[in-house]
Amino acid sequence: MKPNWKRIGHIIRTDIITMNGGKNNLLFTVIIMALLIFAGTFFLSPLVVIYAPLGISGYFVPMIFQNEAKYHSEKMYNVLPVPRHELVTARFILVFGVNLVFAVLSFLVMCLSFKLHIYIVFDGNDITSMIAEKAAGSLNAFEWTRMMFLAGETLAMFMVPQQLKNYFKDNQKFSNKVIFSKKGKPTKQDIQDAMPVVFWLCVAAFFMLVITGMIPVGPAGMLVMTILGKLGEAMHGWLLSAVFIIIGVMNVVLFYVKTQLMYEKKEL
Amino acid sequence: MKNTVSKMTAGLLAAVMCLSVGVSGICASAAEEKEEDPSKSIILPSGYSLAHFLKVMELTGKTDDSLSGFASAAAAVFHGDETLYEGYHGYADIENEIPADENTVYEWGSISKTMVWVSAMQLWEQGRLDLDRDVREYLPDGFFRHLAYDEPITMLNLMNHNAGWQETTRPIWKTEESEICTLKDELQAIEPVQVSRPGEICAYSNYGAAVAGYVVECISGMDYCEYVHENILEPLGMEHTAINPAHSDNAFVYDQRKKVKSYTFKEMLDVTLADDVQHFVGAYPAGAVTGTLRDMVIYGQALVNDDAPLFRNPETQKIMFTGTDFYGDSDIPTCAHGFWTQQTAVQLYGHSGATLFGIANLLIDPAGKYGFAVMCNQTSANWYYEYLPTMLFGILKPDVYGSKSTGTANLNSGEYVAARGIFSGMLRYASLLASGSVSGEQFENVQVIDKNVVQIVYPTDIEYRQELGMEEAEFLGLKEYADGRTGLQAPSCDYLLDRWHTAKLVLFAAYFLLAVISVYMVLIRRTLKKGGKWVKRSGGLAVGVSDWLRIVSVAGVLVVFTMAYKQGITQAQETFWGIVQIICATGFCAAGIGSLAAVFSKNTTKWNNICNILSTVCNAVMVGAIVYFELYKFWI
Repeated sequence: MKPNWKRIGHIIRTDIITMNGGKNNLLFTVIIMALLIFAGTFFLSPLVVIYAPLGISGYFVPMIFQNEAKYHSEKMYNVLPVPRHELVTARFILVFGVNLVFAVLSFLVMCLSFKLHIYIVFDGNDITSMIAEKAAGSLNAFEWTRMMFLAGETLAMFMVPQQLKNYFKDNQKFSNKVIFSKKGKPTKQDIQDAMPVVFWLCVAAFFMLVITGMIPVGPAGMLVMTILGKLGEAMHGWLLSAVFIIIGVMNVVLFYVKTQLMYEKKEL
Repeated sequence: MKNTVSKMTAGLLAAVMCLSVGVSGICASAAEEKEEDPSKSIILPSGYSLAHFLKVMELTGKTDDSLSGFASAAAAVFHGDETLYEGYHGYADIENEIPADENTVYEWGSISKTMVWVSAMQLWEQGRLDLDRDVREYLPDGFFRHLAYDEPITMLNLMNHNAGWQETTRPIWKTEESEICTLKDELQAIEPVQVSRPGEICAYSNYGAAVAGYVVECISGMDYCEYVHENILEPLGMEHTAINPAHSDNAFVYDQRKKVKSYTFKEMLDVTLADDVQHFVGAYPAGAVTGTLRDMVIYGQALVNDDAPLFRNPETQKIMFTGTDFYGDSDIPTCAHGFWTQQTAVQLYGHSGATLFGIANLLIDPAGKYGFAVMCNQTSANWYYEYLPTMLFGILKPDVYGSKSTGTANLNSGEYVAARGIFSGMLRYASLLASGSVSGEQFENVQVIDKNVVQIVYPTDIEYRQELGMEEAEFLGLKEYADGRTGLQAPSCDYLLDRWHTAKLVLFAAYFLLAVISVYMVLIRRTLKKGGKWVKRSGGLAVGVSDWLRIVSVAGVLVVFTMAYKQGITQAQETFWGIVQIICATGFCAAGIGSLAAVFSKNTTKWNNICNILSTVCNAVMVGAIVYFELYKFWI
């Protein structure tokens, strides 16, 4: 069935109105957190911007749908002539639209931070230069930080669709909590759904531990590190960044399909 | 009267006492002057006095603050027959606290190659070897099986490492003594492809040096190991050195080697990996010599000795230290009959060595008779390895050659790939990822000092070196090859400008990315099938098969790379994975045809056509990558 883009636009507008309605919404919290991270990016180190995708992206789904869950207004889609697949499509577009805008903003803040260079210098060398020196051969501090930021965005593209799927699955349980702080015993499906996020967080942590030398790597690990390192150095880090983004985008697509299928079958 | 005599006597006695004290004082200071430290008067090539050098060695004792961790270092400085400094620092076995001492044996690594070159010059001196003659005339018929060019390969080509061979991908390390075979069999098993014309491109080659050792074997009629014992080790009295890959030619070395562990340090944290497994070099002339520091010093001293004890005629040794390969069109040598040159405050000749065991370096200044030797049982540089040569030999100051500068130069910007790599066969992409890539943008202060030779001047950024000068220089030769390529020339390896580097990297990245996308496509397809939403469509089978083939193809590349990185890849393994890639490429072609056929079928939609066309394009990229990077090429 072809999607009705006009209707999808209406759904998005409805969600935005719902988000802004009611008291104590998370929008204010998210804005404050974003400002703190941006301030840290300017005054402490550009590396702080990595917390933007990892920390704040996890609040987008709760922020947008908090009021709907609180006031049970998801029930109205039982009576409105809105196909379920369009509802899923609209919400994926909204959430990832917000994510994209925030990512672009964070990226600009990072670039500005490097340009202004008002952040604190640690022992005569800023921490980003130190990491760049230790970790990547020909990448400079800015290229290294940019690549880490895009890797963080990729992780966000694992975390956020997972949250959205969970919201569609049971919005009352999801409510205004992020995925890992849900109350109640996680079901087998919850654990299965969380696996990709956990996996990629472990990969990221492993990568950082290897870079810092805390984990010695055998030949297979060296292969991955060598390829990642060489891809990372190629085209000033853009090539590896493209790898990250493609992995992230494909994961969003996978979860979009899973969410469509799950929501189609759900008893409302 | 009595008082006067008494006074005079007392005065005289006092005078005698004062005089004797004064005389003894004068004698004492004269004696002290005579005993003044002679090391103060010895000025090293760097400009430091020997006294200062020894004081630094005494006070510094860098055993726990090294560049990246410290196991042990045995280091020596000599001047002619005199050993000015000999020191053993750290532990041969850290866990069991076995200190390094004069009995500790270390692996020479590639310094072993210098014995090949000395052997070759001995045979040349005897009229038994012509350095300009094709070495195939000395080798058994049909010895080389993978040559691409008809041009002769001479001993000088082997010495200059420009015979044209790429790196071998075959296993070169053995962990069991029983795996060691004859030198001939080993060389024929690991023979790499010849990828450039002899004499054109310098690419450091272990294989080439080992072939030179086999040439010595063929001419002399005796095992290379036996030849070196008879003509180098025994005449010099090097009683604690072995050359056989298993060290079985010297009982002392054989026993002592088992007591030494090798260490690998992680840079940021104090993580130590100890390895007590011995790795044997099959092509042993290239890197199997193992022995004590004192023996290496004896060897080095022979090389600076005007009497040239290694040769019948001292002139031969002088000829050995004349250039055979030069920077650009200048007379500044990069190589002298296999000995690499290094420009410091003096011109040095020597060789470094690195094995899975550790690193070593031997540098000599034949003109000034100074020499330096260091041996370590760790795979990364430490203070003694990195800094002692500079303290002894100094740095090349920019004004030495800069005064002859005819202007500045702009190097061709772009990506440079090290000539020492793999350019043919299943690991061809490895040269793309090679760590020797150099960006032309890195060079800023470039002075032309001779025809096709430039000097790069850069700030001396290490504090202790700044005592010697705030700027130092390095040379690069500018080369243009017969096929029109350009490159930069450094001792032991040329760097070739790779014009299509980014395009190749994009192709390789696309090859990988398509496999990543295919993983997700398989997952999405499976999810849709499970949800009952999968709709069969024309061309769907071709697309599905293509996804799996991409995953298999890239997985194959990862497996081959891992095997090659770990220990080398055998012919059987290459054959298997090459056939897998051929099957994948054939599958891509068939799937591409299937997808295109679906586009022209009747029961198709616009979206279907887009998917099929995209799949065809992706398959074309995969086939292109397989063909261009020769992922299928299991034969050489």
